[in-house]
Amino acid sequence: MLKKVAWFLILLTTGVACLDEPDCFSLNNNLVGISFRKMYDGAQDTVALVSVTIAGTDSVFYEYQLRNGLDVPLNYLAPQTDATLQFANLITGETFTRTLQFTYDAKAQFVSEDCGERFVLSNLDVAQHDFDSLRVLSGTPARLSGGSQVYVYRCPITNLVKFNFRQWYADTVSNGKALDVNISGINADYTPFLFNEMDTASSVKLPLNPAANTTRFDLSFDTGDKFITLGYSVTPATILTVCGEQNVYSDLEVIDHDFEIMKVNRDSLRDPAITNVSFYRCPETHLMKVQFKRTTATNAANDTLNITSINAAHFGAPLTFTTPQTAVTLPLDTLNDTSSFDFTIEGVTTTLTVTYTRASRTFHEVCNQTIITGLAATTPAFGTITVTNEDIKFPIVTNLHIVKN
Amino acid sequence: MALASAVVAQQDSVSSKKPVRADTVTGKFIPTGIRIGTDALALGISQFNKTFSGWEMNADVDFYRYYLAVDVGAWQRTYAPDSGHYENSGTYFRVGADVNFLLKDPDRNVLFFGLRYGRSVFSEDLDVIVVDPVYGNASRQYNNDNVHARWFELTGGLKVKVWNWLWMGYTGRFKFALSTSDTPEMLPHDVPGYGRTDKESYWGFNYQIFVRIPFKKLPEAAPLR
Repeated sequence: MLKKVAWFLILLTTGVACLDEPDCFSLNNNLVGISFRKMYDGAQDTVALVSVTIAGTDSVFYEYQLRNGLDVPLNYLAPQTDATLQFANLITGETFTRTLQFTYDAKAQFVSEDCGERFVLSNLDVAQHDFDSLRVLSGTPARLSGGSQVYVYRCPITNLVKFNFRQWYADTVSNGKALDVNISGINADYTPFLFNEMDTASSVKLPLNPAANTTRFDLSFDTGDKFITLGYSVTPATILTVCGEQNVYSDLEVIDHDFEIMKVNRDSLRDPAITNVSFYRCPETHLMKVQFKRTTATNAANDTLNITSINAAHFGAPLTFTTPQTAVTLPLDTLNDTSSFDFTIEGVTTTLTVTYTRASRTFHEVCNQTIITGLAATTPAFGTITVTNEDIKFPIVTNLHIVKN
Repeated sequence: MALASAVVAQQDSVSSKKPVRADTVTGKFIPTGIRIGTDALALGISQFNKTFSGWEMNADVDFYRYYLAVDVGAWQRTYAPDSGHYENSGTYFRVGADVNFLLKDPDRNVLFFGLRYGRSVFSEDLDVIVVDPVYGNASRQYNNDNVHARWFELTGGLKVKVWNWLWMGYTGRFKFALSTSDTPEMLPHDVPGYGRTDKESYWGFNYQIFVRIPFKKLPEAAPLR
């Protein structure tokens, strides 16, 4: 009998030890993930959110943010949550508002003495909205952010023309490479709004005037002002049924412009915009780079010179400097086989003279460039000069190492 | 031939001496007694755990190696977290059958595996104080009244005769297929007899003390003839 009692005590202890101790649950599942999409292809869309506000709270979410999506916290103590989203048009900057009314079932559940309660939401739906289109993917909100339960679609924006800035090189690659340009601002002739103010970009998207068949754009760069006038036809059409009748822009042509080189890539507009007009810059094949060194050793450290100005006979105006320089890029005279540069360093003027061989060559059918080779420096009084590259290249390479006397 | 006859006669004599066991099939499915007990674990937890109060009575009747088992019980749970108060109370029963795998044990100890069908009726009250970073603070009350639940169990265990009419045993339970009636305000947290509702299956354990009341003498094996 004792043996049996002992056996049962052991089993009792084992049984108690094996009793399942529950873990805490996680959070309430009251997050609705919203993803912004383009109706035309279903791809993600980037929107400029000014603010998101929710009825029943003073909190403001997502102020002045560019977003592909967001999370709305639902009120689990109420059967619905009303959200107001304020957007800014990415092109014009104008603000507009959209609203969403979420409905759902919310049930409380006790979790444990340590965790307290949680709220379980289900049957999520959007009872009202004023977006172009909307789809509820899942009726169960999330506990954590990162997923999407609702897709919000916008109708195509049909009047965006895309300009692309390209740099040609001294090669045969016809499309060159994307070129970042510094834009002070872009004006359209039908609106006072200033686009791309103080922007650096290799491409811009600008809205055509929907009420006319021409639009002129004035572009201000850090290198000067340019303009382009576009002509096009506008035809009302129903692209997507839910979007109703929209303007379709086609037969795009350049009526007038003052860019050096311009090409029309595509004469119709689409969303997302594809490059319609490309502006090209010819390679600069006459720029010589001078690097200042401390010694003539191969891996010598760079030297810094307090250069006030550099002038040359072929300069329109001297190059001036307000900070010490370790290197300078100097345009060579393409009309002569020699260029002389007067360096003013700490009040003393010294002349650097270089000689070279010139040849003419045409790139990309329109870029008539001077090719410079056989660079040599002929003023040893300036300093110890080492020619590292006797041919001028583009992109620029270091042509001279100078150890200044 | 005489030798053969003598051999046959000798064989007949040997054969007639081989014992013949009497027939033991007749009457073995007639119940021999009822065993009534209680879950000592539930009583013990009720004494030492402030959040739980409960009891359970068990009974089984034998039909040869098969047992009809019935459990009846009641649970009450009370929690007082920082964010409110929770209370749950209800009753339950289980009915099922076990199969004994210790047929030749002279004390009729039982090693069994079986099935149960469980049902419960319970009510819950939940008072909460919600502190939400977006919507602020609020207090709410939720109730579930007369919620019905059912589930199934796979059971296994041991019942051992400790002394004369006193038996002790344990039952392990694998509970599954819980279903509760619709509750519009609050999801059930705990079902008396089953356990927490957040899991698709649940393990349970009972430690029982029985008293067996025989109402028929256990059949003995007939003597050899």
